[in-house]
Amino acid sequence: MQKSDFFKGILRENPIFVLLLGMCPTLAVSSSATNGIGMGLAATVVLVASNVSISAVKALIPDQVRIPAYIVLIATFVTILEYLLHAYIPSLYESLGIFIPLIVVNCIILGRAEAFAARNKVLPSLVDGITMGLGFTIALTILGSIREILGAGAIFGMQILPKETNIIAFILAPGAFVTLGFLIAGAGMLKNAMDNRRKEAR
Amino acid sequence: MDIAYILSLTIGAMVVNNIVLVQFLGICPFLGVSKRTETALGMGAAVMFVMVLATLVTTVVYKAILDPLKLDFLSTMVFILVIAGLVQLVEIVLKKLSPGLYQALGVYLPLITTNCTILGVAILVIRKNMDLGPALVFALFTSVGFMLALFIFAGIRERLEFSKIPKSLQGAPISLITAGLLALAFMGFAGMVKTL
Amino acid sequence: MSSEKKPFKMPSTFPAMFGVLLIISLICGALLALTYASTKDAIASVEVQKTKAAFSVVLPGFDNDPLADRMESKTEAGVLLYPLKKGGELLGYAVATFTERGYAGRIELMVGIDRDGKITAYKETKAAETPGLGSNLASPDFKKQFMGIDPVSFKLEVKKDGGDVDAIAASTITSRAICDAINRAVRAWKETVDAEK
Repeated sequence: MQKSDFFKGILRENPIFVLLLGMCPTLAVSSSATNGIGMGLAATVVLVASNVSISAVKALIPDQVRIPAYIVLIATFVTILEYLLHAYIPSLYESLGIFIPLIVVNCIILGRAEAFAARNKVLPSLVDGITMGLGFTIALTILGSIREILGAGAIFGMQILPKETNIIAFILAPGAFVTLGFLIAGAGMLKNAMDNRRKEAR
Repeated sequence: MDIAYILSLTIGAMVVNNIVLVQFLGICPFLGVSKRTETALGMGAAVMFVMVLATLVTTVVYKAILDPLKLDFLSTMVFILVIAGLVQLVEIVLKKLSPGLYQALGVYLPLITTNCTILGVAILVIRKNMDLGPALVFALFTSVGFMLALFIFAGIRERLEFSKIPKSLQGAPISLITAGLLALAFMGFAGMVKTL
Repeated sequence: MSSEKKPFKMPSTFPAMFGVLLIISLICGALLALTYASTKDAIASVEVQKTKAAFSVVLPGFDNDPLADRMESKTEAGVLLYPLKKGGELLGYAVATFTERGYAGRIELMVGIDRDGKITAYKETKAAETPGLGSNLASPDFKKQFMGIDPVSFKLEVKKDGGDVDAIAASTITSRAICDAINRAVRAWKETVDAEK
């Protein structure tokens, strides 16, 4: 396993900016930096648990029922996370609301289960879960920060810009779509630049 | 349960709280399937069928079994299994009745299972303590709203194909920016419905 | 990684498929039941803490256990009233009220009403489902105008609707919703106080 595999989830194959997975929670929860990190970490926990367990039992699951089997496992982890959050980190539980159970249908988790955990051993699956989750979290945090700064003049709850400069549309739906659109474009440009530099180096 | 309530429920679900453009659910199929208006309608119809049926089954199961027996913690798991089962059903039915549509929807059909709208509506209906009747109306018109958003979006994208778009914005970025403008337009509906 | 022998893979026969799914579901069901049982108390105490914290915000200085004296409103379904006493004397009520007219749905508030029927303050206890939109509710300037007002003389509707409440900028819907919730609380309070006479 090369060093590049470790970081692929963060830029090259970033789930949100490149693979375009996990859109729903991305747009809804990224209204502030704190929400972004919270959702990112919550999803990462489930992703890692799911990748590891699916990789561990992949030989025992008949091919035809693998999707329902994965779904049951993922749903279980999400529910466990939901109850743990409600009990021990209630503020996060409140702010993420309905999007906690929706982690079940976060395409990233099912996607990685199918594309990676089902075909690889436990340790690589663990790493994949961590890097993909990290990429997701970073993307959400960036998106959340931009929206929070432009829309509320704050970051992580700390006010840095006066109220008059707030563009509320950024906290609401339109801002989410537009910001994400430009960020994906930006990520694409970055990737192209890196690819070109790599080609020239050869 | 009077007419005003039902009306506010329908318009609310379809437009004011449009599931895609206001509540952010269903983005994956929204971005993926909406390149042609016919596919958009087909996808919308499939989602409508699954959503209403899923809401019916999950609500009944919740009220008759999970809630009385205090098995709330099994809700998410049970709901998603019901949805997965229904989608399989739709796949089989569609293959027989309309192979053309089945082909056109391609991989996005099984992806209805992971469509946040369906699980989202099932959970929302429980959280808002809705009775079965209003819940079904809500599910029906939410899916109509989904189809509406998809259809409008597909129409716009069909036109976009004739425009010159900067290379880095092609594909997902311009779709998202367009969706953002569409969402901005839908914001105009906010406040139209004085609920309850 | 190449191997001469193909690694074991459970075949897709009907009994195998059914059996594996059943076993997985049973194990997961058990795990979930376990989680539910072990977090039940923590979750209950979190909810109690939230309610208690709300009491302290709207009507501080009480020394009874309002939760034990909880009353349900008879005319306003879903509204709960908690009497707050100090040294046996009634300070006022903390009323747990709600509105369904929030921008993204249901909002729950705790409203403090003193002995004379004046509103002391309110605290939101549960904001709308969509994350981020609830931040408008917490605007201190908006909240301040409710403190100490007498609902008999101060009309609890936004100015646009003929009332005396200054709406939050660009959030008429939320402002209307809060008025709705507070009005509900006042009605429940009045009904309870009248019944006790």
